[in-house]
Amino acid sequence: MRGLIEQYRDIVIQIATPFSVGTGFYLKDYGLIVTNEHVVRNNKEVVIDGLGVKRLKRKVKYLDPKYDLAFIQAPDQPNALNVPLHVKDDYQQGDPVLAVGHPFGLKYTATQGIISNTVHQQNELFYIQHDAALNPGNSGGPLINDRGEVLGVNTFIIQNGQSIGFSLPARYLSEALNEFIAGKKELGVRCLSCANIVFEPNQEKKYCPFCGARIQMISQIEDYTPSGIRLEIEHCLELLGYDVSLTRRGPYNWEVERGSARILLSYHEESGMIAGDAFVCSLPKEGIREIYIYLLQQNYLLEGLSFSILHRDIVLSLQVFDHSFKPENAQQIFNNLFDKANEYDDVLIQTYGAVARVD
Amino acid sequence: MAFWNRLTATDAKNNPAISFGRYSDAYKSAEQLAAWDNSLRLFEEGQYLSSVKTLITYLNNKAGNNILLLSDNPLKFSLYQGSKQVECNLTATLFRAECKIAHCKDLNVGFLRKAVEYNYDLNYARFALDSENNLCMVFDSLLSEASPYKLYYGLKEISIQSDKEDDLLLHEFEHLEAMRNQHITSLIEDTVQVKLEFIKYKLNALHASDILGNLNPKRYQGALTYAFLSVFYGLDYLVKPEGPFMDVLGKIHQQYFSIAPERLEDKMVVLEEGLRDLEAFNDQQLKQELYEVISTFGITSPVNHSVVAQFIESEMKTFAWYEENKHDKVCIAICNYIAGYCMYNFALPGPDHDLMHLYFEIAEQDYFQKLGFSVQFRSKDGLKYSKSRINERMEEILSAHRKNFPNLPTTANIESEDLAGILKSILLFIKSLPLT
Repeated sequence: MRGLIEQYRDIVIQIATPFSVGTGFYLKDYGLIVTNEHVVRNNKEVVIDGLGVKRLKRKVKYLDPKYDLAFIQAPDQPNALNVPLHVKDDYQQGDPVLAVGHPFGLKYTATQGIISNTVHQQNELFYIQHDAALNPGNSGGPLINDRGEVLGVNTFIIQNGQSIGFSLPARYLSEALNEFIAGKKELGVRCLSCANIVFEPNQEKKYCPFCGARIQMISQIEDYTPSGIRLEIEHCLELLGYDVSLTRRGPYNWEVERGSARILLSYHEESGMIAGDAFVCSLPKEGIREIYIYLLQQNYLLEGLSFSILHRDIVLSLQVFDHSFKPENAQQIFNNLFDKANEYDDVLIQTYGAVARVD
Repeated sequence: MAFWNRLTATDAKNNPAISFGRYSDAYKSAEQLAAWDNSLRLFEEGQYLSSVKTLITYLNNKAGNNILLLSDNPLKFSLYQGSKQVECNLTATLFRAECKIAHCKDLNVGFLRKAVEYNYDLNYARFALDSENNLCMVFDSLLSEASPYKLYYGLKEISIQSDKEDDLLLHEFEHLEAMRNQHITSLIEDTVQVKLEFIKYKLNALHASDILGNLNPKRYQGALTYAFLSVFYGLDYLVKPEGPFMDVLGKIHQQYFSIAPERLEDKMVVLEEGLRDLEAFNDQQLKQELYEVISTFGITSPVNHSVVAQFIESEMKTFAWYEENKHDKVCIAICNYIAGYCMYNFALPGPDHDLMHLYFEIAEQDYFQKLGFSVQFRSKDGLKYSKSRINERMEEILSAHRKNFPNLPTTANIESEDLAGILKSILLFIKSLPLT
């Protein structure tokens, strides 16, 4: 399975919207990225990012609430792997599977498991039940068999379940792809009531032309407009030169890069805290004690910033609170974090042997 | 608390300066609340220095001994929290608070990891090493960001965490030396001995056969949990340990309530293991955490009287069966649990707090007397309790609080003369108070 993990690295895509984050995967034959509908719901455009593709905005081409599927316009990836769909139902309980995706805050993880039920039924659909751990952010990623074929699309987990995940079988995906292609790749939405696909332009506008049920076409989705503290945070990021639409990672999270440092900003509504965590680099195998001493000494000298360790990552953090949030101050404080993260990255790697981050 | 003010004013010559329970800064005077509003207004107006100065009034404790103003210009002050002293300095642009926790004779990798890892979970403060290898906690803020909210919660975090961590780190890592706790007040040896004996007496009394009598311990585990918890909360309130012993009590509480209510057997395991951990402390270790401290911040959250009343009502439901079947020890354990739980978890409104303290004076009269307090609620033959004396003390407490709570009754109505009945009656009396 290790070889498969490497093969899929370039085609598994992180998908972010102002409302959520998830995973998708590139199907070269179709020029599309496949993901879950619930990942991209209420967006006509999403941000894609991955090891094989730079952070980009891409249009949503197809929404399918019945199968919980969505297709996104893919950038050209001429060297990408062309992964086959396994559309037959010949998999068995106990077959090994691999779930790959981008759980929140991490890039590209793979978890192994086995199929525990081949026909878990829910809402007239049959799902593949397996125990390859799925975490928030994994939705929309591929479930792969030991031959490197896409068996299904990771769609949901049972809350509080012990690693029980459910994947939509690839045959449903194949059906949806074929129906979508028949529409000449116009923007399309599957009507949840009659299951027909409605392509743009839709003469009936807000209603399904087949059954009359209310339907929202992709072109009718309104652009996201932040408000309150989110607007203020994004205003700061704009002033710092970032395209905020590329930084959004769900409703209260943003991700930016400065040099080689990756910085996550998050707003915690309950506490009113805006946290900035710059993942600077990782601990090496040797000389760790000296790094700890250096970090704690820097903590004495720094103003408004704090070094900490999370697992193996060296993190430089700040906190700002919404009750004292002033955009002009926040801009200065954020910028200080971004610059310091970039500076310390070099010092820690060159002088203390810390390890550069690999996403 | 008005009751304590009265006590210290009139009985000061009889009662020793020993405090009980967890400090709370939840209830501020009208003058302090006005200071908070002023501090906020000054911050909004950009008068940052004045805002911080005004906040100091809000932070004062009732005794007015927790903040030491060192310099007015530049503003420099210290505040006390338990065994720790937090030093605060202002420059033209920055507020910085620093607390020295321990001197590191050796920079042990495990201790360093713990400090740097812990930083990720802190919201305002951070662990740091100064140039002399002293482990410190630091909290700073641009003055233009230093709203009263941020300063209050930032100072609270650095104060409480440094006070908590110094004992725990010193206990765990032998290469650390304690620093800057000259302001703590040692207890006289007699008081320490009384506290030590009380701890041992209470822990030794936790035998199922003593508590349950002829009841089957397997079947009546609920009664046993009341007994264990009442002792643990009681020790926290009455003895007030300040270090690892207190930490063990906290861990027992945390673990006990993390287990679902129906899993009584698992809960008993937590309590029995906790008891063993507490019994493992020797006299020398215990003595090190028996001292008097000054505090600025409390860790308990303020609650409305209705929360206290509901808690009493819900827990007293189990009381009736044991009362009818004359299991007095279990009845007393249930009452002690209720009082102890409230004191451990809540910053109680003034009348509730003072009546609960009176509850403990009655329930543990011998202990209070040994400490030197002039409390006498039992009749001369020692067999019955003096309901008139108890009612009189309760009415004094009500009277002292009537200014802030005008609907408080003028009379108390304790009718019982046996301990279980009295304790139950006091709790039901507290439950019925109209604290609006």
